[in-house]
Amino acid sequence: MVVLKEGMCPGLDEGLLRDLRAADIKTVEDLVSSDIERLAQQCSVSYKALFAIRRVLLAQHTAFPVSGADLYEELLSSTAILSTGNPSLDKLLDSGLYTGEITELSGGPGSGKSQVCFGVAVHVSHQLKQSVIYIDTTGGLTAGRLLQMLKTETSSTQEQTEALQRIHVFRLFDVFSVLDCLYSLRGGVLQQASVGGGGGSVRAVIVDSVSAVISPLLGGKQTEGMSLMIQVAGVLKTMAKDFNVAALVTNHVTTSGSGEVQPGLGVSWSHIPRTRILLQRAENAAAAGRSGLRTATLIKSSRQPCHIKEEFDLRWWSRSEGGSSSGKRKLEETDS
Amino acid sequence: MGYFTAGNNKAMLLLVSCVAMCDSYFEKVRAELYLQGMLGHWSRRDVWSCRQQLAGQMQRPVSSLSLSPSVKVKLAGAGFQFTAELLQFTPAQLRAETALSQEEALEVLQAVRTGGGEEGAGAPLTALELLLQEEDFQSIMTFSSQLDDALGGGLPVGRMTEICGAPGVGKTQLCLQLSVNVQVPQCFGGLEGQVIYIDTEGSFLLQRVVDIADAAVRHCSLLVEDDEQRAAVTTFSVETVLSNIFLVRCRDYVELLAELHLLPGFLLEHPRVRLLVIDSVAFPFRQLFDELSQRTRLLNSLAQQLIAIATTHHVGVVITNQMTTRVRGSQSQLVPALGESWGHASSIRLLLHWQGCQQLATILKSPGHMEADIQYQITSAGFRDTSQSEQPQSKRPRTHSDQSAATQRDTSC
Amino acid sequence: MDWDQLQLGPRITAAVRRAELKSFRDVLCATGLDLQRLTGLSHSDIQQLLIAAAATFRRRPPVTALQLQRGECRSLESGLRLSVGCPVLDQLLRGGLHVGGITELAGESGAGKTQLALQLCLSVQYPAQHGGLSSGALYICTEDSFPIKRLQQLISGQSSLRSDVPPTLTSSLQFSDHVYIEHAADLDSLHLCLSRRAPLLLAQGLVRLLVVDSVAALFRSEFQADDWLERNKQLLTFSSRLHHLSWEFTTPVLCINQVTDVFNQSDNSLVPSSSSVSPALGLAWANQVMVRLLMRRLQATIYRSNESSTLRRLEVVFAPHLARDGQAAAVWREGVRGVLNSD
Repeated sequence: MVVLKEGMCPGLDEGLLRDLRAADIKTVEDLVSSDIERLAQQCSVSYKALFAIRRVLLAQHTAFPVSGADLYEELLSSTAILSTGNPSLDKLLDSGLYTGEITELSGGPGSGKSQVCFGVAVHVSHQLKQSVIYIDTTGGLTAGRLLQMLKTETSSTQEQTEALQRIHVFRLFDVFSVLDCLYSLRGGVLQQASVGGGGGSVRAVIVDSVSAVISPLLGGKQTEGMSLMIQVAGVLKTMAKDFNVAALVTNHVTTSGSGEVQPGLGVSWSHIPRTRILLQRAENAAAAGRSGLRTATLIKSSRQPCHIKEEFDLRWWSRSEGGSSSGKRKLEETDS
Repeated sequence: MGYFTAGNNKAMLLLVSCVAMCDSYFEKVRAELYLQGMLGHWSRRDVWSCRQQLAGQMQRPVSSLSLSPSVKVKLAGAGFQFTAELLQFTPAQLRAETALSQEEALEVLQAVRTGGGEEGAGAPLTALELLLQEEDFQSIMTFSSQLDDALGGGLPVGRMTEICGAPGVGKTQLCLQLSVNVQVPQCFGGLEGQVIYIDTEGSFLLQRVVDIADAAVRHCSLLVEDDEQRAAVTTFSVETVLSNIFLVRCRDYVELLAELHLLPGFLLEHPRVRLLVIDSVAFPFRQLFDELSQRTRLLNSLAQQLIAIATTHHVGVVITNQMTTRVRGSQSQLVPALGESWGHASSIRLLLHWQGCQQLATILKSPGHMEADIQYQITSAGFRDTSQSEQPQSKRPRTHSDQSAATQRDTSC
Repeated sequence: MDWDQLQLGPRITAAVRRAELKSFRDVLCATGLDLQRLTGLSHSDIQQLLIAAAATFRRRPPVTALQLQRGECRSLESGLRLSVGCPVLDQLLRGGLHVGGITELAGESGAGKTQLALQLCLSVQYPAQHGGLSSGALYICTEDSFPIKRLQQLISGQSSLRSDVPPTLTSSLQFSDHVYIEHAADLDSLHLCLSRRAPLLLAQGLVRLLVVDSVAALFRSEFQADDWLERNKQLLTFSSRLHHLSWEFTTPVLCINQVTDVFNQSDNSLVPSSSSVSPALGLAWANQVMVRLLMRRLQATIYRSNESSTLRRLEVVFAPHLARDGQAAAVWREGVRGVLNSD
């Protein structure tokens, strides 16, 4: 629905607009779906003029049909696969995060969702030299940890600094500011960010976590929450598609009546991500004491058979670290 | 951009620059159609993707704005669907077009301009800036050097930490300890901050706070080495410690929710507050809730509120939670209360528990640190390391585990 | 609902009135979006409304701990303690029972729980300078009938137990007139008692100590093992009622509880593994208790001129302000007294 406005197309002048309004025609949709012959009589305009206006409006507002061949060609030229930096996860995702798609990580508290997000952010910004947008809604992003991960990749301070500069962080705590942010990203900030951030276009948008801002709105009598959830999904999807970025979101889990763990946010959301992964603590690891061992289960995918499991270790991203955490170093500096 | 790789970059550039000069969506579409005619050799697909991009720049549904539903209905009724269509209006014009009141019209236009604008979301930080910020914020030490080390210096400011544990394991003790420690003068490595303590269980007992404050004050006075510290110690007394603890007692969950609405105002008046303690969140929320979905929703929004307070006011948020028994089939398991989704609220989750005669603090989750088990004890002076002397002796106050005051409790085991 | 007291603009007040909001409580429990939908107000108006409604729930602005210490806020920290009636035991409890919150006294049968509870019923009647609260006690029995004989015996022994109090004062107090006894044989009558009669007595100032002897009996007998969900719900209702009474009237609440043997040694993250018994009713109840005391019978017997008593030990299991510690005690004719090691 687009409101009719003066000067929208030749012939649509003030007088005609007033007449149309009198005939209860306010939007483009009203006009194209109305009976032109009768309208011409009502507004005392020529049938021909109205018909011309309608044709122009139709041309302006219809969708452009695209052939499958065109789409395929476009796909080949534009889709990229971003490795997560972790071989097990890459295997599960059929070699990595696909641009133009939404990938979802779900899991209980402490299951390593944020750690995987950090890992992806670091890998994309350092190895692939591309920019990353990180929308943090839980306040969980720790730059110290990013640095720690980077240190396992490179020892050059220069490279670490550059990589960190390519990660752009938004900290937003309600759904409207998330929507504002996503729309303004879609509306051109995305390109600006990539220019300002020392090279490399934005290739990944990470939202950790999407459920934190949406779940307070769900439940109760309200329908609004559902519509906002779909808005978030819609803008993420179009952004992923239009700008060829990979979108990675995290979700919490709920336990169904039968004791089965499943991703949160309900059925409507379950259609949004193209690929869904469930992270859990590895069962045998629980017995062996604390460890970084996690299992990842593919629960939705269009490329791989579902319910394949992979085990991986969260410590993969801090391998060869040797126990010296950046936190400690930091403290010694501030103390001295 | 991906779409334009097919070639024809020159024409594309022309189009895009043309388009960039037009300032309304309609003009852009017109320019586009004009160019379509001019550059007749363009494929439909090129025009399509160009159009997509134009649409992408401007089309934000009105329904995604933070407006009241009735206003949205009125806007939709008048045929407005995208924010772009509203940009050109003055409030008076908008009122004429729709059934909105003056205030509503102003509000709509305000929302369209700030929300759709490029500053809408605020400038992003790069991770590098964030790192520098994090290094500026110190952590609140726990007076247990092992736990401090595992957490990279203590409980972080600007984040939410949850302490879970069975009754009597030391949750309140740790909270009280943190409330005192956040006030340690800067020259001793502290934050010199103030604290808001929201007590829902009635377990904030003055007697105990005085104990802990007294121990901390004496501890600091033993560490004095230079003039600066000497000067600081004179003002760091039990009395000043007590005067920097703001206590709020909430008896049910509505009072707690109410207090959180009023907190941002209080924090603006008291910029030195660096710690917010809620002991406990579980207590009011586990009472008399018939409708679990309502509870979950309230808790979820509470969590977002707390995270926002932590980030915007640079305050460490520490909350405590009870444990509950979860029965899975035949075996039962102790888990933190308030349900699965609450577990995502805090960035750091500590579990305090007994193992034999030892008290252990386990880091269940933390974005920046590995999971770890740390032994601790509650002495008459407060929360301390267990007195194994293997820890490194350094000049920093937190590594002195106050051996002199460590009159140990519970020597029976 | 009196929306005018919120001091909002007439526009907001009118909109709130139109919407179906019944109380300030409803306002705070609804989401911002819900409120916008119901009232048709803008986001910023809703923020104003929320803050105004929140302010009505705030009893007082945050007070500093220093103000508490100076006694400027009596309702939060009265500084009062209810003495047990024996200086040795009072020292263990740092002055006695705390006047806000639930104190639990657990122990096996014959450990002396009821003895201590009865003693508190008398101790509460002394004026504040002698560790009392100058008021009576409400004693709710759920298990056995009230041990009236033992109470009489204790009353007659008061002068020898409380040698610190002037005898004229002790003899002037009509102890038995100020102990109100209530029998509750099932949960319904317990709830009735706590929601009707107890508030009445407390409001009139006739009573300032609440004793429930015992909590375990009702909750253990009325529920089977498999309806623990219902049991927990009832337990929470019961405890929130007690909390409410305790805070509203700054009254100490003493709950007597039974103990169970610890079967499951593997599940030892709850308590230090040194203890072989734990108080009944599990975690759900333990979460509601502020101070948990445990009384044990020891093997030894202690003698005094012509009396003997089994040695007991009163232990602090947990309390926010007390160390994990214990104190030997004995039950004599005149009451429970702590036994110092030198004896």
